[in-house]
Amino acid sequence: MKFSIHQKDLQRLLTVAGDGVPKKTTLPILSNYLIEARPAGVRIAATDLEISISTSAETAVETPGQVAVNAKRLQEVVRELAKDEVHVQVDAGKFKMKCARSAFELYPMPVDDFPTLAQERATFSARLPAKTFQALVDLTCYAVSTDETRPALGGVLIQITDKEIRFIATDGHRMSKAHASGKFPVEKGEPREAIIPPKALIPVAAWATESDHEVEMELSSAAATFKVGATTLTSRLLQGPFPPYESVIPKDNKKQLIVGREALLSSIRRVAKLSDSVSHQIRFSVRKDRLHLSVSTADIGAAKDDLEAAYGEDDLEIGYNAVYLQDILKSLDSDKVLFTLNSPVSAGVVTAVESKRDATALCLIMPLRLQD
Amino acid sequence: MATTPALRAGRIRVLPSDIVAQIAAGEVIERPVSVLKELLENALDSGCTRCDVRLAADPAAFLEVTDDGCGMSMQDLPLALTRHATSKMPEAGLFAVTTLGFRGEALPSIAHVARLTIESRATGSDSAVRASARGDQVRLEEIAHAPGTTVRVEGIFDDLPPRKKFLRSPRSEVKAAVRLVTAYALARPDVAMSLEVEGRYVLRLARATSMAERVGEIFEVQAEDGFVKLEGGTPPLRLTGFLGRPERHRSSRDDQYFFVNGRWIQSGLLSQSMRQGYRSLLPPDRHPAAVIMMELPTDVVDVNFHPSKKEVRFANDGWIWNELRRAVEGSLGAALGHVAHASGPEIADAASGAASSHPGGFAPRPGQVTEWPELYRTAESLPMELREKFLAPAGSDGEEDGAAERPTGPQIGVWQLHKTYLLAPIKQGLLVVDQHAAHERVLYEQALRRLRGKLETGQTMLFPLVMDLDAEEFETLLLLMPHLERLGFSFERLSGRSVAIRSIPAGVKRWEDGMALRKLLQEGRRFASESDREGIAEKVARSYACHSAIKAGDSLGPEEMQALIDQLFATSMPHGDVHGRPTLIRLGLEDFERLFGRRRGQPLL
Repeated sequence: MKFSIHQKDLQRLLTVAGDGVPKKTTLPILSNYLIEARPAGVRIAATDLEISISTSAETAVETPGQVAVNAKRLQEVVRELAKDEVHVQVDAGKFKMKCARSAFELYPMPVDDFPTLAQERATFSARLPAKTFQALVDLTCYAVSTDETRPALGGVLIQITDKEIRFIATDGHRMSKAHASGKFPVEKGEPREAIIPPKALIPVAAWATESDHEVEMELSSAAATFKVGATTLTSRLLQGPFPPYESVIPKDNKKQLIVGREALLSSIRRVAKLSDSVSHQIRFSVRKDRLHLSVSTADIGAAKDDLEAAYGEDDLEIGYNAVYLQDILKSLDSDKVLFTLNSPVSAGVVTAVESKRDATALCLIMPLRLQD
Repeated sequence: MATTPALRAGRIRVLPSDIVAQIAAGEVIERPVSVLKELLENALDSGCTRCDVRLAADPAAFLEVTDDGCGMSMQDLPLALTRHATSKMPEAGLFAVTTLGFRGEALPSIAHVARLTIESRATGSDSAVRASARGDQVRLEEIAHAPGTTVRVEGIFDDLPPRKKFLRSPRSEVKAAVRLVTAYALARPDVAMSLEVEGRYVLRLARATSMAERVGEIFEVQAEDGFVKLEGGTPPLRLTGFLGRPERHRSSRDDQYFFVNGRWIQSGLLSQSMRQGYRSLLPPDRHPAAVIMMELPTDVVDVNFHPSKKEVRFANDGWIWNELRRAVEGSLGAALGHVAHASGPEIADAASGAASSHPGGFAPRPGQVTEWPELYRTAESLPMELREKFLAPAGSDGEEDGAAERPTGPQIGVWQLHKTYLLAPIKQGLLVVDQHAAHERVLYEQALRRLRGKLETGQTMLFPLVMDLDAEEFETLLLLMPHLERLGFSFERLSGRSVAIRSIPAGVKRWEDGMALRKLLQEGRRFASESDREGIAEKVARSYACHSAIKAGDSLGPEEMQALIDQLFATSMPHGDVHGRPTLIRLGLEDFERLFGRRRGQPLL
């Protein structure tokens, strides 16, 4: 194997593929990049067995070949190299790298140990603009569950129809359903759905936003593949079933509260400083055109704040988890948000008023039962 | 019709004196070790500074006690062998007894069941005398002997085959003898003691200057490492001693020694009330090691209750029970709390051997904590302060002790080891916390407070969890419902035994799939129908904590780790989890020094 590539390009490839290298692993081979030189260019891959990332660049390849080298060391060395052409070759079982006047040798691991993810025929594919994908990810990934007892909630449910793409995430206490309607081409196959972990979606969104490339999505029965330019991420699907999310979206919430998003967010931040460290409870006292926020925590103290709002219904007292509220408010980008409420023990709905994003979200939050 | 000869009329007769003596002796001399007990007490009452015990492998065949006490003269010795002759009865009578022996029964009784030889030289006398007794016959001769007394007993019950038949095995006699000598060694640290069995030393204790020294020597551990000092009791009762650290629990009560006014006694009452004081710090069926000294006026304790004086009777059992339990709780609460988070002064003191000068002396805590809620409250006010003390980077404070200035490296916060243990550098070493055990302790106390206080916050659920319960689970649920609702659960009965869980306690994990609740209900079967409300609450809290706590294998973020440690030290008993396992281990720099061979001695590990 012998090729040369500019330091800048090599560093970019390594950074992108680096998201696939597990931080800790018991399988030593997974700490390696798989570097593959083909006549058309160089491909660098990494995997943690749940997701795998492969990225490539066109460059001058003298001799094709493959090698597995330690990811962390290679990345660190390349970062420090002169901004110049890097000459890479595998010779006598050693990975050799020269750049300007520096030379390095790394001892590779056997290429055959590197796991190859089974490629399955995609049954479905779709394309999404970078901004849409980023918006869908931002609006949902925060609500994914970290509770291991319900693995299906550890991912985002993606549903695609010919008119709409939906991302849905929930941890059982709050839920976000984001959708982008409009015209994005749906190619072959019927409407499909899959549950995908955030650690696959977040880097894809970042690459797309950075490069302003479209995201090409392909689903098979066991994996989802996302292509952004010359980079491909394949993720295993999480096993369902995903809970029946449609049925919990309240239909009879009549009480509408409109409040400034930034103002509410900063008020919650202030008041929640004194909330209980476990429940993060904060109290909403909704009055005519006012929203009072308060916190009272045994052994810690109490706080109050007061906001202007638009509200014309009966007074209402509801407890919420302040962290959940902040997550929702941060994910939205509008000037104002609309709370659609019913009772102190039923789900509240939060939506953006006039969103500027390329996707819209319906956020559900379950109250904390107030201790009276 | 055959009649038993003894029951025939007109045959009642007075027993011959030697039979009477043997029966009476039987009251005192149940077994060889009771002979040893009498001899030991005599030796210790003699004002000796050393006392050596020798036994044959079968103590019934041979046992000997040598002391260097006041001895007996040619005139006293024959008297000592006479029934109810004693030098120990105070003028004020039986209730003023402060010596160990007082009945004047022991030696004559022994002489009636065994061959007894006494060699003694009284203080100030040039000559010694030997008395060999068998029954009522005594032979005296002049011999040479060091000042003090040697009493030798051979062939116990040899002449009484039926009694001999019922003796326990020699091995269990030796075991009992070891415990007995240990007990008296604990009672009298000022006396050098040894125990030799078949020519081999089992115990060899030099005169100790303090109780702590003796305790340390006997339990083969630095007293401050293995024990918590007990201090307590409301006058006139004074309680002192050493409570084994909960993590050093034992399978039996053999390492518990109780003394009333210096007399070793066995008391189920005291043992139980002490166990209560440990509460959930110990697993079920495990027992602490302990040495407990009770001092109280002779008029509220009756030591003349049992011939072998093994048991005593208190004028007021309930009072003693409460006093001991409370003292144990208080001492453990204060000491374990403060050992756990005392980084600077306490540990530094331990290194210089002066820890005992701070009995439970963590300043903001009351020395005598009598009520649990009070304990919680006190503890809760501590976390921030503790945290500062506890994880303060080295050199950030001009602490009084020079040892604290040793470099401990930059502050690196808390580490998680194998997703199971949290490692936190403290000024004098390393703290290792078991994350599950620690969280369990935190949740347990939270739950207890909730169960006793107002309704707690429940997180309502988007997808109510529907559970189909069996008849027993459903029954248990109905019984435990009020408790569970206090914790933040709410339920809705759907149909039959189907229940929807509408809310769960806020902030807990692992309850989403209902398995934890099912386990709680299954455990609850055992206690749900008990009448003791408080007891049920405690058990619910324990079960709830166990199933909600983070497990080994859960990875924690830096804030979570920090929060867990802070919360742990805000509990009343940061040292142990609800099953009695330790939550944390402190590895001192001295332990590392030993591990790396920089210091002599065995490391704790």
